[in-house]
Amino acid sequence: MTTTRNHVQDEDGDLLRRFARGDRDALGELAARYEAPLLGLATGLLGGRGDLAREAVQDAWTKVIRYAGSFEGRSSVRTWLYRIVINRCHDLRARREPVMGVNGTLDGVERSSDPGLSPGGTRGLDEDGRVRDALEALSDAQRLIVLLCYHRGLSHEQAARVLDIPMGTLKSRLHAALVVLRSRLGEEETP
Amino acid sequence: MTGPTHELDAVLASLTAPSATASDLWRAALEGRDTTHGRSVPRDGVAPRAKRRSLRRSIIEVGVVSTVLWVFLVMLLPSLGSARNVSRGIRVQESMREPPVASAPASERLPVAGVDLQWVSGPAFEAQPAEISGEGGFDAAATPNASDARQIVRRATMTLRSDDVRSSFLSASMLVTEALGEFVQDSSLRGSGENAEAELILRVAAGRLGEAMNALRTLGEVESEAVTGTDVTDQLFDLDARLRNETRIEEELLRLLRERSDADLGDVLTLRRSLDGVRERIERLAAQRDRATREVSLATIAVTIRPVGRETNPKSTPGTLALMNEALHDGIDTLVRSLAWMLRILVGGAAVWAIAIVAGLIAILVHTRAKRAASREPVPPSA
Repeated sequence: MTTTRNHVQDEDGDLLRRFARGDRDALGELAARYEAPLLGLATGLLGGRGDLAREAVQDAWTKVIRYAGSFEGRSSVRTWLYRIVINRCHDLRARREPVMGVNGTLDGVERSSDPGLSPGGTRGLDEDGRVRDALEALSDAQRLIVLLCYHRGLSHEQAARVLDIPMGTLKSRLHAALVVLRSRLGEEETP
Repeated sequence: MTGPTHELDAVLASLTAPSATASDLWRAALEGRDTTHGRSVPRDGVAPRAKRRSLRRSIIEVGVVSTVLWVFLVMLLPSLGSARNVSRGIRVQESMREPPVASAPASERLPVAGVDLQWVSGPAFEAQPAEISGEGGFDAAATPNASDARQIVRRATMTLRSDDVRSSFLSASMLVTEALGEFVQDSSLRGSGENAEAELILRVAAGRLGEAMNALRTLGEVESEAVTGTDVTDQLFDLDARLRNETRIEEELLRLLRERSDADLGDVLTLRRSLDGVRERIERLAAQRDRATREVSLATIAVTIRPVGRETNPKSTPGTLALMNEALHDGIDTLVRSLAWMLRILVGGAAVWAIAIVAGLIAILVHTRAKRAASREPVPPSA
């Protein structure tokens, strides 16, 4: 397992180095691996706003393109990419906060109905909306940890690495965030 | 896992599920870069910042480490030094030979000189006034003045081997001439036959030291002998000068007392008190000078007489068991001394240790954070 992961990391590093040397296809290969999960995470972090999520991921790629040459390999490419996207999502949230409602509802902008960005499709839209609203009521840190841990692109270990916290801390924070989330969902159900 | 929980997990997972549609955002970013910049990607911006951060951390680390070292050097080492000095204080005293009289200020020299003289003579050199037949017994030429030669306190030690320890002991006791103020300061005779051992401390006139040593050599086979001398000329000059000065003050006060017989009672009493103080100092100085003079005029000879054939130190050829026993005792003694030394350092430097521990913890914390930060790839700054 670890060997496979290291192998993937080596490949990611090679792709980034190749791109830094001028091989554009290498970036394409990297994007093929990470763009979809990054877009998924960004969508979750931005309250289901597909347009903002695309902007965040595109900005992230712009940064990757700009700073690929200065990547020193101190952490894996995957961790680096996720951090860039998360930072960009934070920036966008901070910038767009006034247009977001108290419960994360979007004023004047509809949530993504793109089935690609909402795998549950219309069937689970209501449920998704409820959970999303409860998530929006969490603090930024709690929301991030919940979404990152439930994100299919990352293991808990990788999520801890992205957040730069120990595994134990990640688990305890996740537990605390889930308790708050469940209590909020429970409150909503209670008339 | 309960149903609702499972459902919540599924929903949470779906919220960040990877997008199923191809978006090629990377291509848009790449093309956007090409169209907006039209030049190669600038590759500075993160690395210099990271370097600056790294430099800052290094400076902080160096600062913390320097502080810790400073605390050790400035505060801990002196306490170690003093602890060492305490432990070897006796040795220092024993090894000293020249009393530091010349360097001491005149006002402080009086008590110091007294101590020094006691030390120079040592316990074995202590004059015994009760056994001395008055001051007249001393050589008047030994009293120092500006034209005298150096004043030396002499001490000799001699170890003799004799067939008849008792006889040699008695003969050695007879060597002193009481008419010259000489006397036997200490004598003891223990055991008999091959186990007999005699010890004497003779005080003989300094001018007769050589003669007395020669006489002692005839009493047996000389195993060892040594003569040492300590120059106390400066001390005696100093004492003499101060004595003369105090005497002059005394005369002046007496003259004032005589001439101002009609002065107020209060003034007279003040004058008398001053006179008392001066006389007390004169007596003290005179006593010190006399003692120093006695030390100079009477040399000390410490004699040990043992029977021929007996080893100097019975422990010099011990058996294996005795050796082991001795080693065990030495080891325990060393262990106890080491523990005492460590306790002294630990308790004596408690404040220093506390500071050092805090500084060390800070250093570890800074180092750990710096290490963690260094192992993390710097994320490009926000636009």
